[in-house]
Amino acid sequence: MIEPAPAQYTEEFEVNMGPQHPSTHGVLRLLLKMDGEIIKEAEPYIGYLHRAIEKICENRTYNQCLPFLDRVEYVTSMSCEEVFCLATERIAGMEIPERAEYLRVIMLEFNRIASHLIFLGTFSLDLGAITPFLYCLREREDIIDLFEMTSGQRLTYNYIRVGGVAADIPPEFVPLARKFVNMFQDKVDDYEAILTENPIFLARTKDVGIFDKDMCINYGVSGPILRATGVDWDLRRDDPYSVYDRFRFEIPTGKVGDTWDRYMVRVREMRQSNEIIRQALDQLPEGGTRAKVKPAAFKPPAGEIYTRIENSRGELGCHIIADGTTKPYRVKLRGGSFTHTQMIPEIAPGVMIADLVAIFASMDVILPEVDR
Amino acid sequence: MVDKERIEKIIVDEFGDAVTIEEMNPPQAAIRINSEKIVPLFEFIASHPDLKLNYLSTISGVDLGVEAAEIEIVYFVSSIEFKHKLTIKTRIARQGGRIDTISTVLKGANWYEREIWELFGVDFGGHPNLTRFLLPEDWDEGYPMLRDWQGRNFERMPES
Repeated sequence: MIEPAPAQYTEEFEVNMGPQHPSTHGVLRLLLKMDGEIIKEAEPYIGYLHRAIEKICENRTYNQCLPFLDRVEYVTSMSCEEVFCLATERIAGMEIPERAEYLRVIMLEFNRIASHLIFLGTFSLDLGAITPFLYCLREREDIIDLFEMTSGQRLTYNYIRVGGVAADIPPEFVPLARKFVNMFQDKVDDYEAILTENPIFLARTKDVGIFDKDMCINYGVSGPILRATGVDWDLRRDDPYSVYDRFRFEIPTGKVGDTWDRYMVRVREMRQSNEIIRQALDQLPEGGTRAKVKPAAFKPPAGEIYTRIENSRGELGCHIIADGTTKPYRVKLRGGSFTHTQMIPEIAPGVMIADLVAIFASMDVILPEVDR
Repeated sequence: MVDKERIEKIIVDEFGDAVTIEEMNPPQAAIRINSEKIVPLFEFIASHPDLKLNYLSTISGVDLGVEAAEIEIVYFVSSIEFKHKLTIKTRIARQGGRIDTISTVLKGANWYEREIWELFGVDFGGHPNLTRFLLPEDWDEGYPMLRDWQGRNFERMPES
């Protein structure tokens, strides 16, 4: 006699995603508890890239800190320099030359475009589309060339300094920047032609990974992820710094907060950044590029401030305590990626493992900034 | 946007002696609170109709040194609706200091508190997951962000 087959039974199992997984964008390890292809629980493990940058900064003079801060978030190093310099300048009550402010805005917005291009390329790569990656890196190369001719570096620039910028731009910079600005909108049209209405892309992104607005605020999520849920919050306008109040730009927001919205917000932000650069190039004043500071013996008065700027990954903040010596007493960095990574256990349950790749890519997390 | 004086007044009216207004340089809206009242404070400021301070930027730990023997915990909150911000400070003992977690009110506080626990040795009561995550799993050299920390290969730069 044959025994009846037992009812089908699947056992929960654990999967290690990372730390060397290509779609984790660095060294993040996710421990997933799976039921078939559905995720039951997810736990992120970080710290593989911890370099104790906050501790190092306590032990260096203000200008010596800057090269380390470049390495906190190497995709947008300019923002890390800007937030630290801004905080130091606010403590010291320092005015910086107008030309330097404009150069900073130009560099920050170029860096935002470069960062969003990396996002767009790797995001589409994670979804299986290879062409946009090549297109995006081609345009990013033009921006990197502009940075290289100004600062001598392609990734960690050390260009924005306390009191201004390290050097004036070379004469070829403005014509080349204008050339880029004039052609870039058409290039974004090209990326959109490949992705935005592509049925495969829509199937992978529409209504996938919908983030709730209140949950995002409760977690302290900022930047494009928060704007994709429909919250109109951009620190360039809502906590003004530098000369952003002199430019006209829109703040794109999404409607439902799904993966497609997060993609679309970033694409529209690239177009806005392009227009900010265009206006800044038009208004660029003549003059000096650095206030008078003694680099080695620079001593801001005792003070404390938390400064934040809008980075391509959300709020980038810096808490500095100055005690009147040449070194900061405490430097605390707050990056968007750190905050966004801790949201994974909340959003992953019930999601297919392939969709988690899409959702995580759309969050645009960069691991060196998580670990610091 | 509610101005600095009004924010501080609303909180002082509610909490009385437990709160003092903190003068900072450069000037910012800031208060100092008794560490035992931290959870009621966050519940209050997140729900008050004129404050709505429900967005936590970060929590920073500051070691005030061996002589002061205290650690300062600094919270930076802002309101997305009204676009104002507030700095909240509190102090606890350097050795064996303990404060209640605010991750029950604002979930984002979870990792910020975990980081301060790991690097400063502050115990957060009621925290769901106080485990190592930035330092190596087998770390045994104490709390590296304390000012008097001595570790392998760590040398202080001379004062210039």
